[in-house]
Amino acid sequence: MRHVLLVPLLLACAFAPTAGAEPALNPHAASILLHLHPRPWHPPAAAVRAGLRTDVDPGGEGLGAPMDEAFAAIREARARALANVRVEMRPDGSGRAVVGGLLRAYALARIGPGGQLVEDCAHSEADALEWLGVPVPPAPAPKKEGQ
Amino acid sequence: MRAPIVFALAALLLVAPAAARATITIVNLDGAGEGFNDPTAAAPVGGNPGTTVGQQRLNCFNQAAQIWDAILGSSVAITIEAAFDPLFCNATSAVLGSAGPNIVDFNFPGAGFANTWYVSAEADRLAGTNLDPGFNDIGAQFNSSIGSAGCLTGRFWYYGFDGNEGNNIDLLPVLLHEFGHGLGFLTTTDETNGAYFSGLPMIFDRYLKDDVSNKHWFEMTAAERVASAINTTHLVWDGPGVTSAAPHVLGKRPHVVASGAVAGDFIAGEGLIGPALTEAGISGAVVLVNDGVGTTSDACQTPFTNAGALAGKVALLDRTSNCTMATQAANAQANGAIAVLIVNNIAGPAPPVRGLAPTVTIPVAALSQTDGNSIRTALGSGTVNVTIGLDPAFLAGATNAGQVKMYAPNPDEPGSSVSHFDVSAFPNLLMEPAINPDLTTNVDLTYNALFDIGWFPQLVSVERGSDGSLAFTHRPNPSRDGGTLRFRLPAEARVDLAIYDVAGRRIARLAQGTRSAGEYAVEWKRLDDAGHRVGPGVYLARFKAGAVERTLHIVLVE
Repeated sequence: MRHVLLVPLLLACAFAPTAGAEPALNPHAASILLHLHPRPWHPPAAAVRAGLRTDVDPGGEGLGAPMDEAFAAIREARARALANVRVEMRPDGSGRAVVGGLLRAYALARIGPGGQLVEDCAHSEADALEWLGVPVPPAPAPKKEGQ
Repeated sequence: MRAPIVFALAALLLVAPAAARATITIVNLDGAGEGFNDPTAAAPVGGNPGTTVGQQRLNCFNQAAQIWDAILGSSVAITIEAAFDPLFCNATSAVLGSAGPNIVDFNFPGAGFANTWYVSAEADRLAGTNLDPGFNDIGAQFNSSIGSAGCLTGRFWYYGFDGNEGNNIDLLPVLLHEFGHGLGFLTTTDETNGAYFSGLPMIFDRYLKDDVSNKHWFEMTAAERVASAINTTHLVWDGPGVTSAAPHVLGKRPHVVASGAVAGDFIAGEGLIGPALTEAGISGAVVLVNDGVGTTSDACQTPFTNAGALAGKVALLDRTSNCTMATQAANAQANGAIAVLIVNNIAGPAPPVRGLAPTVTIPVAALSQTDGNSIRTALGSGTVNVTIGLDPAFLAGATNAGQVKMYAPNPDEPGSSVSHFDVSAFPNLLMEPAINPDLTTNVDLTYNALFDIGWFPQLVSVERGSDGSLAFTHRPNPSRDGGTLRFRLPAEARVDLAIYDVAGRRIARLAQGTRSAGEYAVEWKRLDDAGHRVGPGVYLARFKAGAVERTLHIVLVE
């Protein structure tokens, strides 16, 4: 039987404040942020309007204001997780990296004010959640020694 | 606990000559009674014969896998672990699902380029073996809550294969798009800081080119990549497959030619609202809309206060968050406009016209903020006449040099920048960041992009053909009219050239018998042996010359 690589989603961390109002989450969407040790992140100045809404119709869909700060820690967590992926070398000199869900693309949908369904694609959970306007709590601070 | 169940696709009887064909396999991660195993009864829909929700979901995944499988024809199995689970959603927004590669490899036997990342599905194909046994190539998870109470209220997954989703969400093109990323249509390089993943470029990066610096991403410094990622309209795909196929997939570029108080030839955006633009175009004087409420030029209210002046003219209006483009166009039409020009409300190029408006029968195009404002300003000093149409010299979504643009908005849009085709492409492409309602099961230029990143090395070697090989080629591909097959015989041989569908059925024999050495061209008129036009889809052209055999994939478009 094949070993099944279970890919946790960072989405889980985003839903905690509203979990009672939302459908149950995937039980495999583990609290991955605990493993990622996010650190302070400073978004590039150019990313003020990050997300896909500007493409879809910055005006037309009536989407909410971007929340870069709220998603910064998640983005950084993903970046750090990717940076920490171990490259495994084979005897023949080739190598691989098991990236799991870190390189997943997210399909998104939103119903605009006119009832128009807008579907889009984002390449990380933070981008996906930001596009959807999901409130995200501050990422937990890294644990210190002895805690 | 989940019990992984492997659902193999029915083996396709294909005509690949050398290696045995493998399939793309969906590995079902769902437990009993949920997701792919949901026993809720469902009526077969749109060619999906499933009689439960779970069956229909799995059939849809298998359909997407089969489409990709027919195109890729890998001799090494590709596995996609998949699950349908409750993911985030509320009444108006949702994560539909996610997919991507689980593993990337480099410096494996058969790699086209050293020190370059490839997704494992392609790496396996090139190596001719499963490099990562024990792992699935692609992971996918989709939202099982869509359509339930409070989750995109009133919208449901559409599991049919025929694109008749109505107001619902067509799962099949979403799967084709996300699987496309999992098969290699993405970069692992971070465009926000330019850093390579683990110090190596992705194969995708070899074909990303900035047409100002004329450097490819793998030739740039990190800082140059950051700049290139936001060099809007100048980040292009520099691969021969995409570039050669683009004229057969993309339409002509929309433009607005202005005269009178201002003169200019402005690149425009188009979409699915109103009739298709033509090269002849539609002409008229421009009138700025005034709807009398709030931002009076947004055309969200009707009737307009200047409806009398607008009748028989071209409506100029502003993109807005107050109503959709569909509403704006409908209102302009109701007030007598013969065409609509929507001016962008942010900096950047002309946006695409988004949405659907079946009642709108007048042409609708969009202009950049700069170009639109130049017309608006000129209206203060005189009449502006415009012709809205297609520019026969250029392609929608391509540069003047014919290279297809990649999505590079400024500011950067993390998650969608770079790893998609630009939104100016029209007809809309599968790998644009927005999943548009006109997408079907056609993977359009994605096939050619995968060709460029090396998925089909045998085709590259065949096409070079300078070593006395059979030099078996097909152009154009994709094709609307069948295209031309060419081959070279180094010596006299008995040949057999035929077209097959993906189920292995021969549908047309184009040449048979002994031929002398030399070069040959066979035009296929897209007809089967009975003289009927062949529908769109993927086909295989098999060419045999003596004991040697070659197979090409042919993509026919509408």
